[in-house]
Amino acid sequence: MNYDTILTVCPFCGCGCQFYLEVLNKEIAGLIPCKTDEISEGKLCIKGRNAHKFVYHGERLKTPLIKRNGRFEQASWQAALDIISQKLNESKQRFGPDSIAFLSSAKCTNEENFLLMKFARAVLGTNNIDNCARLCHSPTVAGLSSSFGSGAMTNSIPELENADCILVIGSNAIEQHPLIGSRILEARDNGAKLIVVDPRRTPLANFADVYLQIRPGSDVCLLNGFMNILTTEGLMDKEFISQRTEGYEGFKQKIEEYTPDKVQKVSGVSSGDLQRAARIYGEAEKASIVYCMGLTQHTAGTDNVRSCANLAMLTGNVGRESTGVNPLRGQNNVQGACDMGALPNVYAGYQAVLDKVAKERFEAAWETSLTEKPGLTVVEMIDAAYEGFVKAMYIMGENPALSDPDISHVHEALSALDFLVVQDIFMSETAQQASVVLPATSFAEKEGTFTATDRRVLRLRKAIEPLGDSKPDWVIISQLAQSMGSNQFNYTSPKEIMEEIAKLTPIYGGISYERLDKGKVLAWPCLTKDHSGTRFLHEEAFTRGKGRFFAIDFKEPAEMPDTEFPFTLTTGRLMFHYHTGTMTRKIPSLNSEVSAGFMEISPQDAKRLGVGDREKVVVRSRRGEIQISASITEKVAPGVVFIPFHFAESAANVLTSRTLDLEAKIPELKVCAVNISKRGKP
Amino acid sequence: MSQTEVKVGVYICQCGINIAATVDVEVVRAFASTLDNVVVARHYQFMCSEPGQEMIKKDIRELGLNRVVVASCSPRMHEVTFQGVLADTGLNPYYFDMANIREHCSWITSDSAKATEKAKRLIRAAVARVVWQEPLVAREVPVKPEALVVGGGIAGIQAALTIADAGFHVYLVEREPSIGGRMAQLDKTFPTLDCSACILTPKMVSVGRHPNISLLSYSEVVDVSGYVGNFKVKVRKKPRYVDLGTCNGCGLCAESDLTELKEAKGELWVDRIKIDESKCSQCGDCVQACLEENKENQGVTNIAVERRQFAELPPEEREGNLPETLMQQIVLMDSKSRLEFWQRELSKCIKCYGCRDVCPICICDECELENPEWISPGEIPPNFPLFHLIRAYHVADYCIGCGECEATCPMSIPLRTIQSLIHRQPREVIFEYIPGLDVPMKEKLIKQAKESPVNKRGVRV
Repeated sequence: MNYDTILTVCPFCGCGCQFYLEVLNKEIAGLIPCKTDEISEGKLCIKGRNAHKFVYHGERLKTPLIKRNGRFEQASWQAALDIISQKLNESKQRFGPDSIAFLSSAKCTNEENFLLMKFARAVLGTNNIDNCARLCHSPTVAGLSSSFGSGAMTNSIPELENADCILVIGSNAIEQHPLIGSRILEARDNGAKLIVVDPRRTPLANFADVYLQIRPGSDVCLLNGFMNILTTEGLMDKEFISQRTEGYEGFKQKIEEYTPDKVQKVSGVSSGDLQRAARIYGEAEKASIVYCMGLTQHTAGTDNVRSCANLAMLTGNVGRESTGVNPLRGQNNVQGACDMGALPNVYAGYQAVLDKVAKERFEAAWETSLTEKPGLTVVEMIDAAYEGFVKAMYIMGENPALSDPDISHVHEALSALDFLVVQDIFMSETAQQASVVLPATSFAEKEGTFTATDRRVLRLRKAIEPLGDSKPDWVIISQLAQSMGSNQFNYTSPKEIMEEIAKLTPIYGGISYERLDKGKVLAWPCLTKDHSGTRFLHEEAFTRGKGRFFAIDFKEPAEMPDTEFPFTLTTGRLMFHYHTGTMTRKIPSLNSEVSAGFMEISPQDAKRLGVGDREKVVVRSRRGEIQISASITEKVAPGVVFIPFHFAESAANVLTSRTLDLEAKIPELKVCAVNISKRGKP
Repeated sequence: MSQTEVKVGVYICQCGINIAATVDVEVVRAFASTLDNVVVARHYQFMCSEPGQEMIKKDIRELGLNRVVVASCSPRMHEVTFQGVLADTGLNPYYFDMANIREHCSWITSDSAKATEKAKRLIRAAVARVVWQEPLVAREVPVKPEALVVGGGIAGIQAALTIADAGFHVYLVEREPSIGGRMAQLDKTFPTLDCSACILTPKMVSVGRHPNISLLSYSEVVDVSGYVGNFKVKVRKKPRYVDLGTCNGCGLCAESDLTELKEAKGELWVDRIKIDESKCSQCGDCVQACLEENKENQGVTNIAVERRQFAELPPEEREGNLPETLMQQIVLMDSKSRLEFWQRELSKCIKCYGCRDVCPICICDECELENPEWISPGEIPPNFPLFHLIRAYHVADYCIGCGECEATCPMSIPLRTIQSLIHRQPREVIFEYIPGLDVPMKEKLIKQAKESPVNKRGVRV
């Protein structure tokens, strides 16, 4: 008998909890929480506790598959890699490198994201690479970069416990980031005041000192009103504003327009509640802002983020412990995927492709010439595929056929492609449309690093051998690159890839497997091998020098309810499932909790429509319709309905709109107009 | 030192017939003289005798030997003797090596050929090694003339007393609250049938009173470093929550409503009592008992003392004064605010099942918590109070108070406190219902459960 415990990282959300996988005779036997991990402290949520249970699922892909005459046939790796390199070369020669697009994965390791980005840029010569951060926190990267100079969580998770006030906007932290939710409650028990802004009464709202049930999409208006109250009542930090920021005058003029009365009319939040909340935040010594998808998935996503940055700067709540602006990243490695440059406009470490110096550095390292034309973003790629500009796509561990807005359009776009490669562990909705499917390995079968939401780099460790014929993503990409004639992909282990990353990425300069394996907690920027990482950013000065105030006008969401589509649909996730459910819906103990989608509707609306609890209804938007059972609850306000997007058979994203935020190119997944009718009736 | 200057002398001892009867000493001598660096090789009847020693001294003086190898008995017998020979002639005694061709060779076989061969090898090895040896100088290092005895059973007690009587200071470490060990549990001792306590107790008292003994009871050795004479030892003292300076051993605290202390009553020495923090429910009864006996200086110093003092404060002074423990708060609550408290705490639950999964005594094959008849699936927080009530009562009888449920709860719900409360209050007080005895009530409860709104709602489809 051979028993071992392997310390590794949870593959679900961005909290970055570590746990031990129990390995008995080379098979995973169980999972033990890690009590010495500073985030989880031996505590895990239900997804984490069951994280190992999808690894051996019978539907795991174990051999490469090539589609011939509409059916998948098993193939050898050689045959699969040959056909991929031939097709990609063909597309590159006939239509140019930009006819190929790559989707990298926030579920894959830093090393793998780095390799796919290197493959796209160095081997195929295109910047058409993006990852699902586009659909979650691209406004964070855009917004916070322009305000502060660094588009990441400013503070670390454990610091939340010591805050005096926590303002949570559009984050269902208890369900989606349980170990952060837990810290927020801890802070509250320690005496912190909690303000929750959400159109839906989330579990966290029940613990709030002030809960503001906002109309979906009116965040800028509310935050401007918030700051209006702070300036009127003199609760700003004048010294901080004059010494560390710029652009205050223009900003101040703008927010003067947003009186509490106006805000009440637009957002539906009473001016009294707003004033109460503003005073709590303004008077706190250490106030922290926590936000998530509820703020970013809007056409005004970047504006929303900048408003948060404005608020933190106005009160001097940046660059100190337990303060800051803290976006919670949804995927275990969405932070890392962005850090590694799986984005169309930057290389690893946010070095712009337009920056000549950065370009030359990467060209020298990779011995090739690179293009400086920024590439396409997720939704633009799909549109370009639909219109025929993108001919081939390479998708690693993502499921746009369920996660992207307006998925009927996504399906059409994917079938319009000449060639689609999908690299995944399960036959996802996207993989079904692929020309070639490559079997990758799960988190338990490979080495690497993940970067958690608070910029902590964590070691993922291999517990078991890859199942069947599957291979870790970094091996697949390396072999493909080699078969396409590149000599830049001769890696024997992810450790070597990390050495290359550290060399080319200043913020990861001090990260190495040796240091991580010694149990060091390293959060970037970690510049050199003797640098101990950075727990909170912007201490002495902002990354960009001075923090910049933006004067922001409130804009209504792109699609407002009208007589034809009178309800506002907002989407989100549940405690028991994860994103498109490719993993969690295959875990019995999670699926038995919730096995199908539902639509939350207020009792008033349900009564008016004559819809009973659990009754099937038809929900329509301008893009499509789905059938789903109604769940009557007071969690949502009248006029608003909520659908979780995990379930392919009643997919919320059939309904959602793909109108983009012009700057961050994020689609407005959180607001669209729908109508609801009983089944069988028009 | 370069090897060219090395001059080795090899001396083979016959040890009467002890060696010479088995090992062919002349063959060995001839072999030794062919080895590198060897200047002279001789054999003699008794190398350790005066003439033998003289032989070596003479060679050192006349031939200028600077290394000596003696092939004879074990170094434990004569290494010092021969090192003295070197020292007498002014050579560093560590330029010496000894090959054991008696215990390791001649004594353990009658095969002369093999023994001779082995003797050659041992000598070859000794010669090879002695070339590399370096001169060493002995020096004096100050030491701490103190001793540490680990374990306060009868052996440890006696060792401590003997050392202490000899004038040295002794630290005696005992992991239990009192010294005495196994012997304290015996009645008579073999073979004389002497009274065990009559031997043990005077020694225990001597240890307690001995000016040279520092007794560290209820302590454990965590780390030992250093070397002979200069050890550094880390000892962890476990908290007793009892002030041994003021405790007068009355034992009244043990008679208060604390089961874990009741066990100690009468049978064990109550003047070395401690509060088991893993079981303490912080009710404060022990402190109350202690205060009644010792008006001025109570000996029990656990957190419950604070509660006692706290409860005596007028309400307006309570705020911001002494901290209340959770258990104390709950016990002081009226039933309405207690319900509200649990409602608030349990509504933090995110239904991770962690409390169930880590519980060492939770063994059901099918979990009632996953039964949709009781708990509606997919709802957060789960049905109040059924979810946590089912769990708490499933384990209540066997709960060992390990606290793992609370430690693993991501929402830090005070789950162990629930168990402490159940333990504190007899179940008939809580429910006025005794399982197994009250049959009509059982039927009523089952009927009620089946008709509950939870059940009617059924599973989400």
